[in-house]
Amino acid sequence: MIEIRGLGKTFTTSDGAVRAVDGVDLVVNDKEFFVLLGLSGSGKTTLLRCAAGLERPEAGEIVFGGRIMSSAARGIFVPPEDRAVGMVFQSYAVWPHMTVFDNVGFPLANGKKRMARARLRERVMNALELVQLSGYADRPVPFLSGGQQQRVALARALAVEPQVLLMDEPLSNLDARLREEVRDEIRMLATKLGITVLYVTHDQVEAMALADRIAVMSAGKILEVGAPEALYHFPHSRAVAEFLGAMNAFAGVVADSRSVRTALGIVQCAVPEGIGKEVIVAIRPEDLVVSREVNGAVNAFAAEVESRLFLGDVTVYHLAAGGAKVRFKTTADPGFAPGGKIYLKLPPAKLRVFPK
Amino acid sequence: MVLRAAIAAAFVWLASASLLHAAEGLQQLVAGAAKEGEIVFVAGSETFGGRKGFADLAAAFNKKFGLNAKINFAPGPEMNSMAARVITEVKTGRASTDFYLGSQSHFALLHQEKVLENVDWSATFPWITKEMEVLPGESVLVYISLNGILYNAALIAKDKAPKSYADLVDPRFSPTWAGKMAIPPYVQWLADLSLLWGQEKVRDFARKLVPLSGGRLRYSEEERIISGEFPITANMGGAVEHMWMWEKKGAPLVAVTGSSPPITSYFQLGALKKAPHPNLAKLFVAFMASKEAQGLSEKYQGRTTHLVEGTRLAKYLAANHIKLQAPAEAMAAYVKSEGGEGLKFKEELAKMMKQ
Amino acid sequence: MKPVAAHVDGKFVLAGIAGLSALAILSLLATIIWMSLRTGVPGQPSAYTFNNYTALLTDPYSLRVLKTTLFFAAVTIGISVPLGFIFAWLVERTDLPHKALAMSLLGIGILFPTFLKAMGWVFLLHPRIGVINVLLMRLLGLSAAPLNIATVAGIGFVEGLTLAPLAYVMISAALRGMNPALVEASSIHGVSRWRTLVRVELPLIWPALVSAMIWMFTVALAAFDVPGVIGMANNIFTFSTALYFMINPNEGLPRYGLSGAYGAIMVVFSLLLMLPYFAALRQSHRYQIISGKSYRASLIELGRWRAAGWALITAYFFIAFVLPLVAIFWVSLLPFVQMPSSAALAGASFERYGAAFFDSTLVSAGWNTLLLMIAVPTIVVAASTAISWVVTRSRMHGRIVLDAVAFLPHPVPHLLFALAIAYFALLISDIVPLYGSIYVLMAVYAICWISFGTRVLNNSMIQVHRELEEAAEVGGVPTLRIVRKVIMPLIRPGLVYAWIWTSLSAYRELTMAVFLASPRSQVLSTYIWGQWHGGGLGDAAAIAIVMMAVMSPLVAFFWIFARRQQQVVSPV
Repeated sequence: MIEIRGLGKTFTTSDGAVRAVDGVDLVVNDKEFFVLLGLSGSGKTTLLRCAAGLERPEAGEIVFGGRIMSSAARGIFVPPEDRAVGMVFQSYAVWPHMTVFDNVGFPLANGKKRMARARLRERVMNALELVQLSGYADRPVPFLSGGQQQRVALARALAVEPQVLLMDEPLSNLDARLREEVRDEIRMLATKLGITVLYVTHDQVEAMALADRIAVMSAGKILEVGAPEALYHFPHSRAVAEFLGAMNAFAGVVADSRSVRTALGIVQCAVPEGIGKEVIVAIRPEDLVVSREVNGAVNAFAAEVESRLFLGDVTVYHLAAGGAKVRFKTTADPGFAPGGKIYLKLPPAKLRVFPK
Repeated sequence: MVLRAAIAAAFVWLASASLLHAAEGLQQLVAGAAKEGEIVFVAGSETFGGRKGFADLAAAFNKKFGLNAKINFAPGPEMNSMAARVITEVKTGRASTDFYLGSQSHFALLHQEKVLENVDWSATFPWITKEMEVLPGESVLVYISLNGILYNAALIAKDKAPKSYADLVDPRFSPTWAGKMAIPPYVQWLADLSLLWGQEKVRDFARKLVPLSGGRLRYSEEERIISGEFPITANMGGAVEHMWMWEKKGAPLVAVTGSSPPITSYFQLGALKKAPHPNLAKLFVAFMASKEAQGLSEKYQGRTTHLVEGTRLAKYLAANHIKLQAPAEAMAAYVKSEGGEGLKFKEELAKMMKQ
Repeated sequence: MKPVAAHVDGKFVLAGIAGLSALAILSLLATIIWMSLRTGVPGQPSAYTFNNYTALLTDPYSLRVLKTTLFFAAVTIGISVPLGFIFAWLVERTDLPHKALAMSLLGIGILFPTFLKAMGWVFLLHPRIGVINVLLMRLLGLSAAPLNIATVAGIGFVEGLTLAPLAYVMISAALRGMNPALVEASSIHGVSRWRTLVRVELPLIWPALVSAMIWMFTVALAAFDVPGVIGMANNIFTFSTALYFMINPNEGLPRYGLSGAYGAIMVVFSLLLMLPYFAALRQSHRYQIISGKSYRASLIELGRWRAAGWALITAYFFIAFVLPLVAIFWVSLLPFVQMPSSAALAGASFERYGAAFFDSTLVSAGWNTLLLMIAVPTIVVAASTAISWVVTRSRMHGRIVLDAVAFLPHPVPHLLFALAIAYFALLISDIVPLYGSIYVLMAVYAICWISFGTRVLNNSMIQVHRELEEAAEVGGVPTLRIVRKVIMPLIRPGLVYAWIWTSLSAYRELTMAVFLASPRSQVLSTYIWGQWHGGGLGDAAAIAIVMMAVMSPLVAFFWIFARRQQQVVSPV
């Protein structure tokens, strides 16, 4: 549905040129919910705005369903109003001088294809129905709550029946509880309507909850693309791994073809690098196995409990093992007391080894 | 009889006392002036030749009295605003100018409001005659201005130009300047004219004049005739001197005295009560009526009084057989025009001019 | 317990300064009303009377003045606001190249006195002596001048042209403050640029446009410069020039009472105008919605229209600034005003300039101007800091009222304050010899520009988080020290900006000065005005050129400095 090839976009700031998007290649399938994930400044929003036509890239091509939207080489640039996309902005961008109905209906009444009033009304009311705002049609938008305003923005984007829906951190201005609610709604709507969504966020939980596939971005480049599970469990780089969730990382040197020497001791794991190379051995805190007694001989280390944090659904322990700090997270709280001597085990299947 | 004799005797005594005082009075003034150091005079920017004129006047003044005074000439509002301000200032505190320059109307006002310092000019200063004291004991004549029509000869041909005020509203000539003619924002010249023409004729004249006008020019704004902003003005005080002045610079300005005898302004200087530098003020006022000052005044602004010998104006009047009223008479005529009937007429004219 | 005492004292001092400033503003307004109920010269006994009002309302002349003023204001708005909008849109919304240069070309005009440009316009567009008119008549073989500056529309045009940069500043602030996503949301959903401009952008900045219009209206209501320079000789009178002639009549005594009545009516008029102004302001607050991450709005690509955009800005710069200046310069070289010709050129010389430099009055006017340029902004910034602190920081009673009072000089035409202070100074001139001194000008400038200072500083102080101050307070630091050491460093850009802008205003001000300047307190603007009004057109032109030349480096320095401190902020 969306094909992006060799896309580049540079901004000139007072500190010099910044390569906001730096040679990105990307394919988003039809009806796919695709999330661009990255820290602020990683270029994800610029990429989205290039897709929208709000920025003109100076290199590469963007193709929607076979139609070239932008091609620097061929000098093609379709302006945003001709791209038939819908977009939801971080700041909602609902027009404060209009009612809810007018906000949703304005593009339909003033766009390229104007429609008859009755049809327009039907389209608007349908869209409002989708976001559960049918009762608010005649309200001026400044009187709505943030969540409601964002729903208006969503209805407006859906009402034009776009082939692609672009969403730029639509949840970040909402408070935590509302965020989850609207997030699930968006996911449901996307599935129900069967549209292609390109979604930008910096929140990895949001990304994993929504995405069919995620692209992790950093410094204008895509680090890795994959399904949430694959990215979470089998990331190809430490950066992607740490971006998607907390990691225990132990610096070490490859001892032989099956083990790495770390501050913990010798850790048995699959080693991709040659002997003597410096590597990072990483494991997610919830993948550790912890017990009061020694539990087997492979990758088992003595440790001391430094502190315990009760967070409700999970409990987090900070452990010290052989000069390394270790974080352990569990849903079944074993009830260790600070100062207690315990044993931890690193299951080799859960270990990731990254080049340093 | 006895009483009358006593009064006469008293007068003689007073007169002789003041004569004795004359020389001494002048000396005292000079001595007082030496301590004052500077003098402030506020008037229109081109007065007495403006900045350049005052530089020469200051030198001559200091030479004449052996002083080393600084003459601070500050360009300020024109005479009427200045008169109003002087009255306000003297009444409420301190004058911002040491002496004042104006014509009949202004001095009548100043006299009436009692803001002029009393000085026996002709007794104190040998070169001042009684006739030059326009308001006896208050003001001294420094120059005379002949009012007249002023036009730009480059824009209005001599043969199409008006010969008198009456021509201005004559439909045979007026199309040349209709809508472009300036008129003064004053009514006094019309009041003066009514002494010659009668009120009815002036009323009719004014009624025709106002619709022909395209703007208002005050009596210092002759440059706007030269520039062509207005090709002609119905009347300007000092029209003849303006013509003389600008002849030198090659400007095509022509003055026509619109009536016979011409409407004449008698410009006087008077020292003010509550003046910051009273001695210097008196000396300078008297100085301006001297031959030296008249020469400089002629050089810089072409303005003089016919009462001082050998001035250009004296020669001009003689050559053109023009006879003027005595200054005091003119002043009296003005005061008459300020009386009940005259004032009402002026108010009526003012209303017509506001259209 | 010493720190506590100092603490209380500090608040007292700030409140005292603020209260005194407010008292000065209110008493001057009261003076206007009071003088409108009296007759005669100030200081003379007079009975209270409504005669001034009856005289005013029954005189057809005042009706004509009212009509003229309204028409003049309408033309001023009609020229300045659309031009300002186009400029603001070009600079803020399009990819016009060299924007910094464009902003400077537009801004530099604000910095130079309007009346100097008006003088130039007389020599450009007067039906008889305007060079452009004469050229057009020769070229097209016309018998009458095609353009006439000596009309109400003409003076409105000149005023509007000189106010356009101010409108530009106000509107561009609104455009810049608008969330760019609001516009993008429209185009991305298929609405064309033009429809987006008309249906989304314009309605959203409508409050700013309305407040710009109202502001232009109050400026036009009070403007003395253009109506004075062009209108007076051509028998066109607006409120301000009519008022001038009541105080400086051609014949007879000044009529303070009548001018007071005029003033009182103007006060009421301008206060009524504040109703729509505040309504617009409230609406614009409602329009301020949540902003997203800050990114630069994507700019509209002008393409071939770039040249047109620049042509417009350059044309404006030449027409509104360069041409009048050239005209003044030409006149200053001549012995008397003439059309450009080889004959006239032969007579041209720098004679007037030589004289100007040795003119002691001019030199002292220059010093006075400089004094005002330093003292007035210092007083304004000090008083405004106190007022803004009380308004935004303290929890004192009546701070809302204080804010409203500090705002009063904004809508009320400044010349009324000048009128009031002249009357007041005359009244007390026996006790305090202030009348006619430079301090009267200093006082009235400061009082009038407090409204500007407090607008800027209120804005700055609100942005300083209250906790920063509370942290120092908890540490036992006395109030005055907190203001000096915590708040003032944090709002430094605002302070500097307010200072510079006020200083430049002091440099260019004519309206207030013309009502107050005496021989002792001439400033450059009144000196030039005196020359012009007295008929010395050439001298006025020469000194005007000198004034601009001498002050240009200073103005340029200020401009660059103000730009660096803070983006050009609307003075309103």
